[in-house]
Amino acid sequence: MSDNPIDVGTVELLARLNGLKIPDEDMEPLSAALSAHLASSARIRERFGAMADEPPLEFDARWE
Amino acid sequence: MTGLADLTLRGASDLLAQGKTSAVELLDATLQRLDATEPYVHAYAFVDADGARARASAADKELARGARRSPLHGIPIGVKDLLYTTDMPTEGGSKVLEGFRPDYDATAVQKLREAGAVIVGKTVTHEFAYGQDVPPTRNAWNQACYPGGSSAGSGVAVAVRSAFGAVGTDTGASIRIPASVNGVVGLKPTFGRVSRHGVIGMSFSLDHVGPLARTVEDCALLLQELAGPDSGDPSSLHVADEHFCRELDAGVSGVRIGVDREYYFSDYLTDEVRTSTLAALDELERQGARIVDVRIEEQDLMADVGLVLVVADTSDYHRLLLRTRTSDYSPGVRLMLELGHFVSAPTYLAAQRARAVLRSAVRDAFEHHGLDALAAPTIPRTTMPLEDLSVSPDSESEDSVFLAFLHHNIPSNLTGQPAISVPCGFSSEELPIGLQLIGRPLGEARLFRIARAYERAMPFHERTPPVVSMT
Repeated sequence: MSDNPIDVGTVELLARLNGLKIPDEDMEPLSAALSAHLASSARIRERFGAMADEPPLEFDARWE
Repeated sequence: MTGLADLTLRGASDLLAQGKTSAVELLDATLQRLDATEPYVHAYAFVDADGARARASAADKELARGARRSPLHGIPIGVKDLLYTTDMPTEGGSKVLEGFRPDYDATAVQKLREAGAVIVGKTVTHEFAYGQDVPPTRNAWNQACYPGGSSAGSGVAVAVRSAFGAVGTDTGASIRIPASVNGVVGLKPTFGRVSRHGVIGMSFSLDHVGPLARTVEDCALLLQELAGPDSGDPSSLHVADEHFCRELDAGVSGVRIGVDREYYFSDYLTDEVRTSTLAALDELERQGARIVDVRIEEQDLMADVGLVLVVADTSDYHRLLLRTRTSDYSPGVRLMLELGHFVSAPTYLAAQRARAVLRSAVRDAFEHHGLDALAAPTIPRTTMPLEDLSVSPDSESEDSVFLAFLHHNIPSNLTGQPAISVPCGFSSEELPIGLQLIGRPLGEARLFRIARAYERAMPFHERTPPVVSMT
């Protein structure tokens, strides 16, 4: 887990910010999952983070 | 071994209507099959044999008076244990809800009861439909293999004929995967078509309720009773009543089916799934459908996008229980719920923006090519031995089965389009393969028509899982 960009201390900080008490056994796997999530988030924000033509975000499955 | 339990829902319904069998006889045959297969497949979390017998008896009395409520009247049905039922526990596959008995029925359950269906029991789900645990349920075709999820019990019960039909839920693939890997038909309807009132949720804008059954027609009959507006669900669509069987036997001549080969037929598809799916498209083309190559590049990041929305929305849904019942969640589900709290607002909004872009791109592709549906393998492989199952939330993992399943299925959860999985073959190991058809919003009747045309020519649904013959 040492090559994860998110360490356990950062997870603890994020947990406090979110008012979460995280069991000790979850810290290591959560840091790994969070690192993967960051990479995925970066890909999404890179492509959809700011767009010249902002799409409407309200949702209705129908097309007409 | 064939008998009443082996009939299709339509077949059983017709016999009942003709007075050639009774609801109690159908139930007895179903319970007999259930008793024989449950030790092997564990499809049910709870069985209410006495309650079901009382309901079947009442259904027979109504039939004797000439009061047939619907084609589901007197038909034994299974309901996923995420839907509230007043007469049976609703535990969502979790210790967190152990012994929970809601004081109202989910609207979908209420509608089944009003249609005269006989609810046999609650079918097994992954814990809160999150798919991080391994449920006790086993695949209908090979008990060493994954049964699909999260509507695992619903798919397996239909496959082994311990229910004539079942209800499931689908947030990213959870009706279509169990349909595909158990060789049955499963439909995720248009978003808002079936009420989610009284259903334990994951994501308010991705959750769908829908039917699983042995045949396309049976699925349509179930949807007919499940669909409809509901003031209890703010997302419920208020649209005119539909007859979902209206096009069923119209064939596919002139129907246009799009195929995005780059997105759905990538390198990680197994050879057998590729061959079976392409053969299914050839069969539809032989019957007069036009197969059209399309490319929707906006789909490419959608597994990532869907995952962001699912983990954030589900964490929000569980925010209170996670704080008070932390240790009652299984470790994998708890980890995902914790992760969801760390999704940033800009990322969440970017994911919603991506979803809007996808919706627009898919609509444009349908309009530009005049499509009735898109076709794809439901999942890129057959089921796998339980020990090979990877449900890691690590989205960097190239071979994550979990992400591959999302890749194939979550685009239609993001757009709200209806999508159906229909059996389209078997692997050399006798494991089922599913063809997915994705339609226009509110286009379920057209999907049923295409799927039915294929099913009539290639009746893979008629094969029986070995566990049924064995018991």
